[in-house]
Amino acid sequence: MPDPAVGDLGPEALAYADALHNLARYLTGNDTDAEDLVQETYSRALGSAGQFTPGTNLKAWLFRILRNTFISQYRRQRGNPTVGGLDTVAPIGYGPADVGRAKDEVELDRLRKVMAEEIERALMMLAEDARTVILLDLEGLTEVEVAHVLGCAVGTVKSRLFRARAALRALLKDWKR
Amino acid sequence: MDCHDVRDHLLDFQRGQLGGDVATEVRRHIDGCVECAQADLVERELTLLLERRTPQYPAPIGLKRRLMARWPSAPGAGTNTRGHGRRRAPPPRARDVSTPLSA
Repeated sequence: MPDPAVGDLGPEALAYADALHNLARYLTGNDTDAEDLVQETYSRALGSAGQFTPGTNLKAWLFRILRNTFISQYRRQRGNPTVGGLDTVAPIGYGPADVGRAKDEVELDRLRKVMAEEIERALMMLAEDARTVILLDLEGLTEVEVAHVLGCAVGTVKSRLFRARAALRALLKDWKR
Repeated sequence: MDCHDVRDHLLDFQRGQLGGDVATEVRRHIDGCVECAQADLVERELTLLLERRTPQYPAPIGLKRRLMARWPSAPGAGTNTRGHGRRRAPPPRARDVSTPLSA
């Protein structure tokens, strides 16, 4: 029997269903698994609601449950481990040879023509942790909140986001139209 | 502050999250460095692109109904809804929630 106070979380918790489903869709890559993942996230939240401290960040707490559920179940089940993680990706360097103005102008021109489906395809090609950090940032979570979701230090979030965006830019830049 | 430092601070700079002195230094560097000015534009364009064109996948209404039905005291809880969850979750374990998992 759930804690009576659990019900108090209901309206706010359910208000995040759209945001949670969006991340779930990008993590699982299909509608059915995304729905299952969100449903399981709420089941776990319901069961663990007694551990949630009122006044703390419910949104980040739910995102954390969703991601942990995805990692513990879906990725293993599907035998679909992303090869290498963001931390294994060498940071994009920059120096005189890398920051050529003409090269950046081409990249800027290319970015302005990118279509929605190309963004989605590029996001899906990123490692799961890179995709997650970009989507959580896009969702408006602060670095502190993202750190809570990912279970890492705030400084790590900053460097992961930096590298994830660089990887995304590289994918979009090289896209063949 | 060199190009390397500026690139590391670009996102924070664009989001107004840098302290006054550091923000001023970044601004000054960008004003005098064509490469970093261009990188600033590219980073801003990527942000715009993500915010405006990333496809969004909100939760379907059927899923919301199922969630509401299962959450006690939520609006619609306990009402008869079409369809139920395809899969029942096992009893949640505290460590699934509180223990960070390495990705």
